[in-house]
Amino acid sequence: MKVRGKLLALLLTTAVVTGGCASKGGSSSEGSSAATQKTSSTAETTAAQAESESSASEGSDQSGQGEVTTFTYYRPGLNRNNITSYSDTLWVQELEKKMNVKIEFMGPASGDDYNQAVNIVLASGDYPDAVYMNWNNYNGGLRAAIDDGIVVDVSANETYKSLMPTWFGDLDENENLRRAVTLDDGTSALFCHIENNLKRGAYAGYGIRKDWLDNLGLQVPTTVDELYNVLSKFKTEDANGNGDNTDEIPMSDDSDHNLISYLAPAWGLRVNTPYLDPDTQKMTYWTQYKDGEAFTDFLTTLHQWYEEGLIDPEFASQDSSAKEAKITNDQVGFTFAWTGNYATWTDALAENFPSIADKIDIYGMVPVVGPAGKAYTANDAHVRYAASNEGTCVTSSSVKDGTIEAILKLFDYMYTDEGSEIINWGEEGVSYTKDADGKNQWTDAVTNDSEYSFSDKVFEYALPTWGGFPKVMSYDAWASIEATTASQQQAHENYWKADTGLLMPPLMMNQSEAEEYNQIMTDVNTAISELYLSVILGTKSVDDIPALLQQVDDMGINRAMEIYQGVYDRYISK
Amino acid sequence: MKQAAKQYTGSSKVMTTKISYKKDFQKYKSVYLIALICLLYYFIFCYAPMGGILIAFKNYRPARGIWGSDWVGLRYFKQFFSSHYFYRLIRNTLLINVYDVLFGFPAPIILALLLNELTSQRFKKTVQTITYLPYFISLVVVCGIILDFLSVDGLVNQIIDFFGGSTVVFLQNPKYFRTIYVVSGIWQNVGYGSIIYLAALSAIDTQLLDASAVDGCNRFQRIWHVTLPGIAPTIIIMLILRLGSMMNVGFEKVILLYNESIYETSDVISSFVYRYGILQGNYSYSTAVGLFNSLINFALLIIVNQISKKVSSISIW
Repeated sequence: MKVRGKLLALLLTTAVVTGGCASKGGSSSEGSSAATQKTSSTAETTAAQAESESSASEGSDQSGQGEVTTFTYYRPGLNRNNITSYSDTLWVQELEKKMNVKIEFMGPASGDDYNQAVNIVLASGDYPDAVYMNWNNYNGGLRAAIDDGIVVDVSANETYKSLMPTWFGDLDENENLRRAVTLDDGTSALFCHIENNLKRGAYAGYGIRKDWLDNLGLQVPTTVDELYNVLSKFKTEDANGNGDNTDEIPMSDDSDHNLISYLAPAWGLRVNTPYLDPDTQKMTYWTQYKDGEAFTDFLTTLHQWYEEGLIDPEFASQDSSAKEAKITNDQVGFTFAWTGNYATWTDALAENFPSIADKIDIYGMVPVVGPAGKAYTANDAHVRYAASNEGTCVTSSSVKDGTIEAILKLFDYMYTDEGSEIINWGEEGVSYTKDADGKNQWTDAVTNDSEYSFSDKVFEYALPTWGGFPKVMSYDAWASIEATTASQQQAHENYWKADTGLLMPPLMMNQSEAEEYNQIMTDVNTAISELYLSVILGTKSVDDIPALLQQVDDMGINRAMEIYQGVYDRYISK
Repeated sequence: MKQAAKQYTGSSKVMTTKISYKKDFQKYKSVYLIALICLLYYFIFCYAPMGGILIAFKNYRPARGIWGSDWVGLRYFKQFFSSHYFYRLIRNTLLINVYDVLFGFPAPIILALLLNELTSQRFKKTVQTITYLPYFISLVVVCGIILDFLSVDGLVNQIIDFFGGSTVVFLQNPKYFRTIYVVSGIWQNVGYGSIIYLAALSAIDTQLLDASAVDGCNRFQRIWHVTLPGIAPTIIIMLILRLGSMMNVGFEKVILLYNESIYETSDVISSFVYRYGILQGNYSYSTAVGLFNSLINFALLIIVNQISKKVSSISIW
């Protein structure tokens, strides 16, 4: 028997060695990829050298129409029912034709887990020529990406600069834009979308079932107290009129916690992001604002609502599709909604409940006024002319490949009126026509497709919504698909009425700031998210808050706010 | 038994009589070649990448490569040890494993013993197939099933409802997470885990079983005095291996099941490493945490092996 044991042991020893290796390999796969990176990058340099030589020889006849420059562009794909690749869209093909380039799109099919994907690509050492990402998610921020030699500082090179007259002209002219997209020293390396009308930013807020209110003879709430009364009525009475007064979920949210983020401003709070205290104009964090009083008050209130059954019991663990299933099942009275949601939810409800189809009315609300006294919103887009941290950069690979000049020319063209028109509307005569007032109208081919709805079909021709490309947004093009139905327009107008007092401009940190700030804030945000959810759910008591806030102090929240204040001050004086 | 063992050792001595390596090599050239592939595999995929742990001691910036990044010594280890989450991560990681060893480890043994007592081969085969089916379901799907069953109007709550209990939101209350994790783990792995014990059981000498029956043992006594001691070496080896991974919790299942409201019990070292390393690009920090984790595992394995060697003289080396 012992011998059998020994034999087995031998067998299992190999097993454990294998297992051990497997796990070690997992933890240090960075190392292996870095090792392969070395060889591949040397291979690349020789390839690049060869190419630069060949391009030098071509230089003489590079006068004009020459060869098509092909470059790679890493970004999330176009995730639509009818079309999945940007390469197949009319506007990309138009741009390629006009600028004599060919864009090879790379990257995951959708934006889910995009940070993970792009960080791995950047760590591989084999960079695509152009990369879209939120550069705050790169360790150390955009500044670090430039210093690491990944991102090309376009503004530091006069030749490159001269290729982009529109972009750099805009920067000179538009103070807000310059502040938003340049680093402290004036570096401009990131190309993001620009807003031509800030009102486009009014795309997020919350909505209430106005038909439920009508059923119960109630008014649209304008204050937190009124909201509480309405939610209580939703709970106790048969608001959806199906004869069952227990199936209503007065208010629902999902694991993105958007509703909580948009309700908190009523208490003068922004969830997990630093903001300016409206009274003192000093940088604060929601746990620190008014010494934590507002934070405690907010959580106490929401906990009470949760206990009374006003909030969906699963709000912290369900994903957005689970929430939407309840909404379209006529169960949810009040929830967070993008302007785009109003049309899809209304349609789905009408389909599921034909008997009430003509009554369904999801009503986008002006933010309710709470203890803070103003109808604050949490959507920074109301005040941002550009996304700043989120955008496309050209990488050092494009210099090696000799594609950078073509890319910069293309990007610059995308910022011109002509280029933006192509992106936002497609091709005149094909996807849109100009009416008598010179306004653009979509053609029948776009609006009346037999197979796909307008909101899908339009993406074959143009990109009227935000897509992370360098471009100037067109309010009209955006509104034509995001604010088409009456309820969407209503929501858009009401969202726009919100007070912008708690909103922040886009700030960019330098590398050491970013590293220190992120180290503190990752810990703090984890602790606070956990804290506020457990207090609302009742797994932690309101009395536990002071002790936990002390813990947050120990993590260095004040230091983080100091850093952020410094960055903000520099932004103001920029 | 003892005699048989003696004979065996005797014959193995005969087999290891000195053969010159050269001759041996010439004779089994192709076998050595095949073995070389294995060795190369281990070298390339297991040993070579271990050099990558260097980045735990550097401020690793992928763009500069391993050698180009600055040395920072033990900075990331210190950062982790002084982190507010250090204690909690260790506790969560260990506790999930402790519960898994307490409940998850005996489960396949019990299943194997039960299967072994079955007389109907057909029934035995059916049960075996059914119990190891879950092992082949993708983890993502398993987690989807778990989430669905545990939702407010899911199966579990319907059962609770039926018996007049009140609805429980399982995945928002930290106190349920470990149970969910361990129980679902047992459900998924019990059948597959029992295979090795069934193999060991089949090797038990039937004469012993018959003899004990003649001596008047009932079924439980037979299991206790014959069957269990028969598979004890297997159990002990499996236990040593299991205890060597006491600090391991696969991050996939955790990140598929957890949310912020239950980090208190569900955030483990691997999920922490995933969040800091992959999502935020803090490769050095997460490598340091991972390395620390591996070291503890390694130490545990050695300690347990030594103890077992002393106590039962069964060990893996």
